[in-house]
Amino acid sequence: MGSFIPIYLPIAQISVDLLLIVAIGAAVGFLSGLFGVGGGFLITPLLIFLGIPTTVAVATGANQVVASSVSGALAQWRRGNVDFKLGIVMLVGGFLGSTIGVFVVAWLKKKGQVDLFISLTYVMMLGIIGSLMLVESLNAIRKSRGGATSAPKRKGHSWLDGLPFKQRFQRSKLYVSAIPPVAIGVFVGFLSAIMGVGGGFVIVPALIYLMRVPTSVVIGTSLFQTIFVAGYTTVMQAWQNQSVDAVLAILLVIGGVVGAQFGVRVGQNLKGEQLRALLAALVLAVAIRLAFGLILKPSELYSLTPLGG
Amino acid sequence: MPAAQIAQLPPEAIEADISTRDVPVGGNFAGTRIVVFGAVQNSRQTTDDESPYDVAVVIAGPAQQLTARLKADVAGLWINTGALNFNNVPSYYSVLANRPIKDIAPKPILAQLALGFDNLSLAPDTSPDARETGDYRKAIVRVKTQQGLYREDPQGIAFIGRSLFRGSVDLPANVPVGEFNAWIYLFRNGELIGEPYKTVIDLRREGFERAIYEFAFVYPFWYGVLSVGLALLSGFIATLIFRRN
Repeated sequence: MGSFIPIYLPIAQISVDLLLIVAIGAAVGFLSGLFGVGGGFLITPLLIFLGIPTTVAVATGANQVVASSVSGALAQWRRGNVDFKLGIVMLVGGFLGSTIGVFVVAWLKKKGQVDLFISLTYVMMLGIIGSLMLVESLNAIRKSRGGATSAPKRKGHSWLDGLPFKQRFQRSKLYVSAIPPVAIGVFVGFLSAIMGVGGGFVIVPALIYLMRVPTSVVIGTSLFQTIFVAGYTTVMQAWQNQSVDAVLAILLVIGGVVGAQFGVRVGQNLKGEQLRALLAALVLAVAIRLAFGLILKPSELYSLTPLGG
Repeated sequence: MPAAQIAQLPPEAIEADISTRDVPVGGNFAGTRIVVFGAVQNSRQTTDDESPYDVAVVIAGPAQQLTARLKADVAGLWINTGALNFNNVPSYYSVLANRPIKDIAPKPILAQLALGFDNLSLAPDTSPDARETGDYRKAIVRVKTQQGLYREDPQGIAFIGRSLFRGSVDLPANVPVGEFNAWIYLFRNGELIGEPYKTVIDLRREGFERAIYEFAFVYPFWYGVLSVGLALLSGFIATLIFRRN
């Protein structure tokens, strides 16, 4: 084992190896660049496995998402792939959802059930999304081997057309109710606060399949929304729960942004369906590991927290 | 020696000191070693090998309030189901002695001095039953020990020559900051001799660490804004640096 440079994390209140943290940031950054995701869903559980208190892991994960979404958002913006109006509508919902989530976290801390709730939410969300993604990507691989390419249907009416408050979203060539994007935003904002994620996992499929937004605009709009909502979540978590550890965050971010650049390059050499299958496998692995943490009897049944926390 | 002569001997006392009373805790704090040393004044020891004295040293960190929680199996999941609040728990507690504490003095004396894990007065703010309280108390000691914050070292004090003693304790990196109390007790034949030596060790957050900690708690909103700002900036800089393609 090499040198252990201890660095004391003021908010997490534990000492960690500086190089280990930067390496973890780089590894997750690489994966996030490779798969085009924010990475929060990997950082937060990893931090929890390392022994960082759950609320700190979640808040710091949200911070990480901001950093890792910047490059992608800028790149998409330069190519004109962001529907700002749609993004703004979603992020308004996101602010609301995030606020609710941050207060729920504070309430759960008092009840001593915050770890349980966050872990359960993770197991559920990652389990569902991972399974869906695995099925979808395996199908896509089979189809691509057969020579066909699949694209989601854009035409046809859906039940969304009946909803009020219709808005024109020029860039997406849509005339649709503002309610679905706001609702997506609220849900994703809530997840951002509870799980420390960006929510791209929910936004991208929801925009493609539910709202029929053109695929080219989906990722950029999602990243745009994510930066604001994850940033808002981070500020709220710091303000209300004092759970953001800036030292931990900056170390992860440094590793993360560097790793992401390499991840993007490597990702360009792999087929989309293969990447998605790999990502699905990773997501499911994390979900299973978290589930085991809840099901297996812990070695120490007692835990100590500051009063009422 | 006849009793009358013993009574005329000058009283024994502890003369002691510790290596440091001031510990700055910065970002790279990896723990610190506290050395305790001293001598028995007016020692009645006559031979070089058998010391009739016992010395016990206690170092206790600032008291904290905490909630101890107990997990139970509920529908296959291990969930926090029980909790008990404790208002006066030492955040750090370390006992050094030249022999196991329970051999040095009888239980009532140890309890009175709150000397040793078994004698800490950990009082919950509500009392279920005695057995449950006892389980929680033992759990606090166990978890704190596992975190490296509670230590009992029955061989931590060594006697040198006729009256010198010495011992050291390593405060771990995760030790809390604040005012620590240190006591040095002198015993002979199970009796406390003289007044214990008492001193204070001050662990202070310093420099960058302190600035961040205070910033996070005194200006939490701006701390959050700064954190997000740094994240945005880092992402932006990385994009610029790697913008070769």
